[in-house]
Amino acid sequence: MRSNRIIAVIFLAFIGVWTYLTYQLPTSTMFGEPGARFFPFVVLGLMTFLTIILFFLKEKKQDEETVVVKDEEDNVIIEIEAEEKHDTRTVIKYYGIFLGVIALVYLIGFVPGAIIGLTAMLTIIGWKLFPRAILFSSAVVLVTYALFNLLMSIPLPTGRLF
Amino acid sequence: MFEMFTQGLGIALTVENFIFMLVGSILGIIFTAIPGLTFSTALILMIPLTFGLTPVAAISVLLGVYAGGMTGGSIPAVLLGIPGNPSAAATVLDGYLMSKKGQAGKALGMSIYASVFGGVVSLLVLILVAPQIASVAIKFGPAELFALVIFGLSTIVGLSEGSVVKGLLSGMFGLLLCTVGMDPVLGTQRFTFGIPGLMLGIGILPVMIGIFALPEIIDCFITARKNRGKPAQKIEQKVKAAFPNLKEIKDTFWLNLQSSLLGTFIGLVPGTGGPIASFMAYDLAKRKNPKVGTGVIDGVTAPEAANNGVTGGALIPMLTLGIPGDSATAIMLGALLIHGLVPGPLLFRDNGPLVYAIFISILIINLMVLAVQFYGMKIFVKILDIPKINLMAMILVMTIVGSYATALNFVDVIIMFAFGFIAYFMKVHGFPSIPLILGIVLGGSIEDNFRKALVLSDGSFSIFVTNPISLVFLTLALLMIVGPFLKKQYQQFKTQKA
Repeated sequence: MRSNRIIAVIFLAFIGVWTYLTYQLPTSTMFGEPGARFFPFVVLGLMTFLTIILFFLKEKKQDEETVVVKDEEDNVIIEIEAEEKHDTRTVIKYYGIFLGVIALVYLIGFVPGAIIGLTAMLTIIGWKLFPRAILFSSAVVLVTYALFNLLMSIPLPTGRLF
Repeated sequence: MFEMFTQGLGIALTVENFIFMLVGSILGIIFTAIPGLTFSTALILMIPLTFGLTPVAAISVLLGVYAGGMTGGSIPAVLLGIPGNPSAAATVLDGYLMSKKGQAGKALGMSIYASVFGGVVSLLVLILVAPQIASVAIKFGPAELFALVIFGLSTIVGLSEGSVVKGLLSGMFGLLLCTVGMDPVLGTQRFTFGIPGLMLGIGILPVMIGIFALPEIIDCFITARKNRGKPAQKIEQKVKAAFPNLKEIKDTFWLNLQSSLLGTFIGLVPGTGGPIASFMAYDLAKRKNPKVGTGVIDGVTAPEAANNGVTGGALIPMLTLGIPGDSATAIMLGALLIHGLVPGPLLFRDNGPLVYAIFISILIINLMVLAVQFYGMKIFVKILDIPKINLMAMILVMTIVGSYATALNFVDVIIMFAFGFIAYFMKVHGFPSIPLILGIVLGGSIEDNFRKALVLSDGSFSIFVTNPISLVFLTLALLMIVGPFLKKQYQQFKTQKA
């Protein structure tokens, strides 16, 4: 219930901001036409209604136990373990690292940025920096570059700094 | 029709298309053969690679991934007891038992045969039914189309695992995101915050890449760090798929046919999909043969025929009405839009030969999947040994390139990241992501048709209820949404009474 309430409050804040932005839109319309504001307002209205329901919604207990499938003689066939949940901080850290890779690509271009970024990510998970991580990253990035840039003539980011 | 069919043959039967279909089929099988990777991810990552291709070649690759992906899930289901995709979960029950009995080859052979059987049966239904639906739907005006798309959107209820309220909120969020960019009627800028990259709106592909691929990548990297140094699970046994003999084909024919038709019908209903079809077919097999559940061929063939039957069934509403029935068809719909093809009745009118080329391609792909899986089984079994992290590292690079290449706009990469981040927390808090995709895919059409209908009716909302077709679709949509609540209330009432 608490988690739902927190999410509902975040949603309401978001709806509030978006409603304000919608009010800023021009009111001009054609005959019979409700204008640019109308559809966002309808959606925001429905979202508000659903968010209020969410606020009072009882939270379902997530089943974290292992699901065991047995045959007729009660022999265990498969055990499907509930998906492992990661610590939120660790998740945010990894997303942060990935954002760093994106920033590198934006600043120094796709090939150097992606090689450095991917090497760093692979090193973090325990790969040896040299030769495994560097060689693997270089191979992946260069093959992707060749595929898109050379074969399909799709330009990839060249970087803002150089 | 015959003329369009021959034109379609000319489009589909090119060496280029054959190669793309083959590549797609192999990739689809590989992605679902490795537990933890989904063919939705494969579909999304293949879209940027199709940018330089003709629409038919692009669709050939994606259809290959789709059909191959539906079939490949049975490999780990039989050999490891782990379904490669949710649709293969029912296959585990008897397939893995057969594998334990030393009949892995037989189980795999039958699963491949049944998959192709299901795919071909559903294709025949698709060819027969789709043009008829399209010929009716082409007469629809904006009010009917609005109601139809609302009905399509109401499938959110079926796609919301867990909480309907959260599913609906997720769908509404998708609809709201559709309003970013240029207003479809008046051309006014909405919510662009002065960023030129947002003028064309939020792209479908970056959002889909972010939602489907990014949480999987992050999850895999974290797991890989936790498990470093631990040996990976390997398959020691040598496996070769054995094609079923004539007696087995004859014995399973009716079950395969029933399961395929069941799968096709379930695929037709938006919001259902492969897992439901395969378990229903498994139940059907169990009722026909009490030995199902002890490791017999009927327990493998029925779910596999059904989950492949879903492919053709799900393509019917997607191609004829522009309504995706599940995540895979939602992605396919997005891909078609990116390639300038708008699924719906107009596709049949304006691009008839192309539609028939798609049908022919599906048939070829099914036969390809049969050949590729039989002769490549040894290789696919070896693929199960490849560490998942290697593939994820490749996918990580593809996420950046894939989202950038759509419009050569770096804002799309940021959008991909933002949605990947949002998707992770949506998953943690039980918000399904498919409704969000559905909202984004269908949102533009909803607003456009809604406003056009109001222009036609001089601003009167009564057009949506006085028009009988529109009224039927809106009523069905309402029933789809409130149905589960009413059913729950009724069950509670019955329990209290008892």
